[in-house]
Amino acid sequence: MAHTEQKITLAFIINGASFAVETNTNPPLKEAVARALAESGNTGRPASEWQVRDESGNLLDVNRKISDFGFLNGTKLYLNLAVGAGGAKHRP
Amino acid sequence: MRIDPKVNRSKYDRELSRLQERRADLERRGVYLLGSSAYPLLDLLFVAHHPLRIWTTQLRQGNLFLGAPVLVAQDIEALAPSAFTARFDLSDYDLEPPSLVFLNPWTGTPLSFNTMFRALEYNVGRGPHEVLIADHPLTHMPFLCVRGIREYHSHPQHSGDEWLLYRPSMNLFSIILSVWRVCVDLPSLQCSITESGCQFTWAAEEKP
Repeated sequence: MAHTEQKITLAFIINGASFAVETNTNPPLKEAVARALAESGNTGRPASEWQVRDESGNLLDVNRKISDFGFLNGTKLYLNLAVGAGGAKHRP
Repeated sequence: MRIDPKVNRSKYDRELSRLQERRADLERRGVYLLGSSAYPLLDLLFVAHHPLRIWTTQLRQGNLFLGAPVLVAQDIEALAPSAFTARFDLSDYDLEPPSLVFLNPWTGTPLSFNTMFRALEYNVGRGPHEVLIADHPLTHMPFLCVRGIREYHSHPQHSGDEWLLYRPSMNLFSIILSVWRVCVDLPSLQCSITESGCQFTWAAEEKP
């Protein structure tokens, strides 16, 4: 019996523009991220410097399978460069 | 101004248009585009997300006296840090990154470091660190030590970490999300009440 893979469309918000990526749910999220970055022309910085967050600002592990997250079709994900901050150690 | 004013105005309009398109995404985070925005300035109101958390020592639970004092936290929903205006100056954008100052939304005057909120970033390896710095060597005002902000890239300690390295991958929308993270999403104001009085501190949520 052939295995039917589920497909889902994720909306990556990159610098305020939306890039829809249709993907199977079995691969790791990083594959969809790579496609979104390529489609948006963001190839200047290494993939390791980009972070994927959900609507609440939670960082998503891109090595996990897409199916692990329970995304709905059309889920918005925010792809941003890591904050990259200077500053000093926090002493409350 | 070093770039053609028409080019600069065109880029300002593009950034403003993008913010207007993404208004719902911003407002869901408590970030509101203000009507005071006028070229080359963009003003956004940031509203605090986390309420004040008060820590007290509990000596008993109901009628039961505890063997040792227990530290108890309570969030006071009606109290939260003040909202603030983030004013981005897009002069010479995007040859230069936007400049950022923090203003009192009622008076329009710059916030004083001693009384304003604290901005914190959290990294797994580095832990929490303060990214609102009291005094910039050039502006002598509080500034956000975060990539994408002019005051970060113009600081002598960050020479070499040039804005032009990041310009293709950043714009005002993504910079605003970074500002939101370190100014609103992560920091929370805490108050510890002890026998000797109240102590207010800022804590960063351990959220990579």
